[in-house]
Amino acid sequence: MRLLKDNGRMYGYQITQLVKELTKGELQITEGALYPLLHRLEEQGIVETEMENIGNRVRKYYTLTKAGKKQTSLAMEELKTFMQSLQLIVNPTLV
Amino acid sequence: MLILHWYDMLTAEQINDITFYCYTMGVDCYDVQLELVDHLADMIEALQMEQQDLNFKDALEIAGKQFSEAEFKKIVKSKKKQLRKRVSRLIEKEFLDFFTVPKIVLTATLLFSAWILPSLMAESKMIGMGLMVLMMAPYVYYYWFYRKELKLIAEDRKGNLLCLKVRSKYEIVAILTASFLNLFLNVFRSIFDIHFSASNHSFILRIIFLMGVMLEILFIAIIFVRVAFNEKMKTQYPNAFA
Repeated sequence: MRLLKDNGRMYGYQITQLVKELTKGELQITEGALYPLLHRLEEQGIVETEMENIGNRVRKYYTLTKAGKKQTSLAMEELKTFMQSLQLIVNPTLV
Repeated sequence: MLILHWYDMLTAEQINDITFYCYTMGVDCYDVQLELVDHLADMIEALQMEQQDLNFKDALEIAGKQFSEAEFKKIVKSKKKQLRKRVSRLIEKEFLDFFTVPKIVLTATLLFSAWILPSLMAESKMIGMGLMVLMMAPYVYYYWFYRKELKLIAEDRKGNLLCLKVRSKYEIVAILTASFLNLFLNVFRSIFDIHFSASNHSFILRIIFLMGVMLEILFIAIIFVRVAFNEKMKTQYPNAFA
């Protein structure tokens, strides 16, 4: 969701490659995990799709909806709080 | 990130090979295939960019291995689940949109006509016959329309859309229910006509007519929802209807 918020519209393969690139290969999303997740987000109205002809094939782009953008901000805030709590447990002297 | 030029991209024949590969992996619907075909094509193009001498067949084999059969199944399952919800939401919306103010007024007029029709029918058999023809019209129109669409899908291999399959399931249930209720009402009315005298059953007969008209309206709404839904799908998947 964060990737979509930062990059606007993206397609499946692009997401897997960007995750790989950002995490320097540490995290690899399998297609069997990515597409069901994207389908679920589409079903929940968090992302919307559009098709575009690329060469001899059709490409499906995913974009965050207005509600999706709001939800991403909330999720990021939650994640931040969670990370801070985790930091307190793992290394309390740093906080 | 890889930047591809038009001359690096796969040919139509190669895309067809990938589509066929997806088909052999159990992905037989166009609306599920297109995303996976693009993904596999991206993988193949990236592999060929890295290894210039790698041919398409070998690249497809390597890319295919990264996609297990279980993953294909998982993707199809999730897509079906998502489509089922999306289609039912869309049908619900189209159904509600169908009942605009003029249509509600028309419905009320039809219901009122149905209320007074039994007494008119008692006076003239011709009105009864006319009413029967009028009640059959939406059914005839529906099957004519359906046959035309089936022909269109049969002519186009890509026409195998999962969303249309999901819609058909909803439609079959609605049509069967409406047809069964209509048949039940007609049989019930006939039995009623034979066993009771006209003087004491006009109220029940009117109720039956009202229900009949409501069923007809439901049937017409199904046809309109179907047309609106298909138009939306044609916009979304123009290649499947090309």
